[in-house]
Amino acid sequence: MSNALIGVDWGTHSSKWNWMFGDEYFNRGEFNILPSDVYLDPSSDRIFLSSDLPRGDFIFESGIKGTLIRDPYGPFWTGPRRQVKLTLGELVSFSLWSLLSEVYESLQRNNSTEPSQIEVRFSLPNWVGVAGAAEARSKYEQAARVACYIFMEDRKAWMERPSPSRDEWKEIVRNVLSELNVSDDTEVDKSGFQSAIQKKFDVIDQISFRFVAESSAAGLTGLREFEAELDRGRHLRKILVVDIGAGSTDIGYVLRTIAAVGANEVLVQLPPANTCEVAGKALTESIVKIYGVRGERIGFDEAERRKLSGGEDVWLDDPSVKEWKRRIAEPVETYVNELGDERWLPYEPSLHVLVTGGASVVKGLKAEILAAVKRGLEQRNVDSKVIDGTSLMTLDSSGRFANDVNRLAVALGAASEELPRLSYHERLDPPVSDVPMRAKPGWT
Amino acid sequence: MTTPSESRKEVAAQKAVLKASLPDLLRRASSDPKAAEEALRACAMLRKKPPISLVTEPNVSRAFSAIEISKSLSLFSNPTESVSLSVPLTALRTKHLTDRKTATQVAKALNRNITKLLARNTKTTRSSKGIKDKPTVLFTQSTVADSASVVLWILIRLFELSEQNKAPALALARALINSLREIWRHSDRAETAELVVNFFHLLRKNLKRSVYVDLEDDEEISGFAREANAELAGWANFALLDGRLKHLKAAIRTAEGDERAKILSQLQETCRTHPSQVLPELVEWVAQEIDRVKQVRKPLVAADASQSSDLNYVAVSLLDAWNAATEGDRAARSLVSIERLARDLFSVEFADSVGEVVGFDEQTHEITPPGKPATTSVRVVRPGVRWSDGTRVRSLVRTLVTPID
Repeated sequence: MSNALIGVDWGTHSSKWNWMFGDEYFNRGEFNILPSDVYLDPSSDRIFLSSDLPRGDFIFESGIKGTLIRDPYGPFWTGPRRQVKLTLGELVSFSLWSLLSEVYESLQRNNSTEPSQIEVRFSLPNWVGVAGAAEARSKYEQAARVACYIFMEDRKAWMERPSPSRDEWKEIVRNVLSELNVSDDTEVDKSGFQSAIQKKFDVIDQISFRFVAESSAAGLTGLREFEAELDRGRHLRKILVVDIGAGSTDIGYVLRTIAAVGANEVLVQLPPANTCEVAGKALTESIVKIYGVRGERIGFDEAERRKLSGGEDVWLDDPSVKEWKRRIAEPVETYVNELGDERWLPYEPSLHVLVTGGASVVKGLKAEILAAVKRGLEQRNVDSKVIDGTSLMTLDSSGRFANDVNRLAVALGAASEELPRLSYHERLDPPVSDVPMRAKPGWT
Repeated sequence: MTTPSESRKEVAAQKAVLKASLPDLLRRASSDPKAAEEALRACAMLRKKPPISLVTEPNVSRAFSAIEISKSLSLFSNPTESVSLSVPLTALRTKHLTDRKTATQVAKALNRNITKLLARNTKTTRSSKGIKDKPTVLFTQSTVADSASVVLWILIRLFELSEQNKAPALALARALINSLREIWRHSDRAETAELVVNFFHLLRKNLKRSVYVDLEDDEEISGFAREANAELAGWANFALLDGRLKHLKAAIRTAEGDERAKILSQLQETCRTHPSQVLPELVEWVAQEIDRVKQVRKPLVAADASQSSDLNYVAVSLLDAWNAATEGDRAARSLVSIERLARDLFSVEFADSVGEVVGFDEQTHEITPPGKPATTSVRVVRPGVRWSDGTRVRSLVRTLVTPID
């Protein structure tokens, strides 16, 4: 394979990337996780995105993704932000360009050949069914286009100069916007979430990008990790995905069917739920408070590490943590109840529930989500046998490795070569005839 | 046109002639293959068990057609200690099934005969003390192997020859597989499980996917496969505890995919829970097998080592040990040990000391209480945790500091 696949999970608080390149299916590249904040060093006027910050006083812009969905109708390529004096579009495109360039550096460092074609898969938050979703998606797409274009003009520019000056960046973006004929007046593509994730965007030669629904990408990772050691026995699997990021929780549904005749695998995704704002960061803040009430002072970082380490800890029994779990689980119940799958969901085999994201390791959370899924199924009057059989999808890998897979599920799924096979369906209607399908595991 | 009574008389006369000539045929059989064939045919006609020396695979194969062999299994069985059907089954395997009709007849005859064989041999008998005994038929290992081979062969041919209408072939296939199940159940199941598991693997590889799927969906057949897999797992565990490396290797080699992983995980559990009962060589072998399976997948590698999930555990352990260190000498010593472990194995260590006054740095310091404005100098109230590979330094947990008024 001379094509490189790059998965970028662009998050509110942190971004993750992973690449696939090479002949072997399992030749999964390195990953990285780094803060999504864009920094400005006022003394040198340089901007950068890094987990390795030099000492000094910096101005930074955080939560760019959140700003985009909170203010979708606001100016994007015009109207600089008050602190960093860069437009939201310049910030988003800089963030995406930095991530892309960093991935490419890792890819080059680990391979002797350069890819002839690059396909980038950017995670698309489940911005569905809310006002301004189309505008937010459209602006994100413009920024992705600009970032890919700049990256492709000089793939190694970042390696030589990872922190351009603010004015340099503004100039580069201005030129590319003119080249691509993009501005705040560009007509917004309102064709919907489905269209956004089914399209392949060609930018210039040798580079293209796609958007991938975050929950679906995580579902694909879950499916493959779960079946990693199974070379047979593949059959219909229905996966309800709950991906808990720091700033948002995404809920989605993917399924894999295998026709009895021909045995071809079909990967399907249904519309996800709209992004839920209750997520990991809220729990971290609660943990700080819980320790404070006990007279123990801990900071936000320590609380975050405690949350992500998934151990038994004093804060787990606090009512606020129970409430947090309940608030995460609540929309899951609603989603399952309203899910548009009449074809497979009501029947055997039972549903698998996959919980990913850093906070997924919090003790008791998965059980709470599983219970919510079962309640959702009950409300649909699904057969009790199917409900009883509904279980958590436990990844094949375990321990520390599983934690990494959980945190990176979206980026891993995004970089998967199988991603384009994931077809999108608005809904699945009840069966009209008895189509033979692999509904059960094999014998051997 | 002969009447039924005339025909019966004719058969009886033929049998009388055969009966008279049988001693001579048997005498010549050892030196004359033709006579051996005739003697075997005569025995079959007279429903008389032939001498064991005559029941050889070439003799049976030459004397009978495939259908005849499958109809006369019990006649050729060797009931010394365990029942062996190896000779007729192997002879049957040398035949060609060229048309669907023959394949169907052979399959039906086999099913009927195996059922009969098991029924006859399990009839209750009254012992000398008047107690009812139910003798158990015990088939030999080679019988199970040969049955599996014959059933597989018939099934493959049956479906190849039944392209148009698969329904009757499927019914017959189910019955045939159930016959194999009965033979297996009447053998040393643990030792022969491997043969059955292998039979299912071969079946999957040799049948069309659509046919395979139909068979797989049959409750009885899938139950049979599960039963065999469970027996194989049990056998592997027994081999482990009994120090039989050769058998253990064979069992693991037979299992595939998730079943193999499942068995290995059971063996791992046995090694863990019965360390004194398992030979070190076998423990080593199991460990190597498990590692080999895991190596198929390349683990995720962090481009920046400070981003690995490992470090969450390390940072939390360090801070917990720091919290407890004031509780006595032992706790203090434990902190020292954990600090050394974190530093030497993970390149993680505490940053700043409590009480120290340092210059405020937003990247490495966190102000407490939150929201309070930072001052140029701050006092450390809780150490931070950092990772460093000697050149790069990453703050994992920022040091908690208070502003100095």
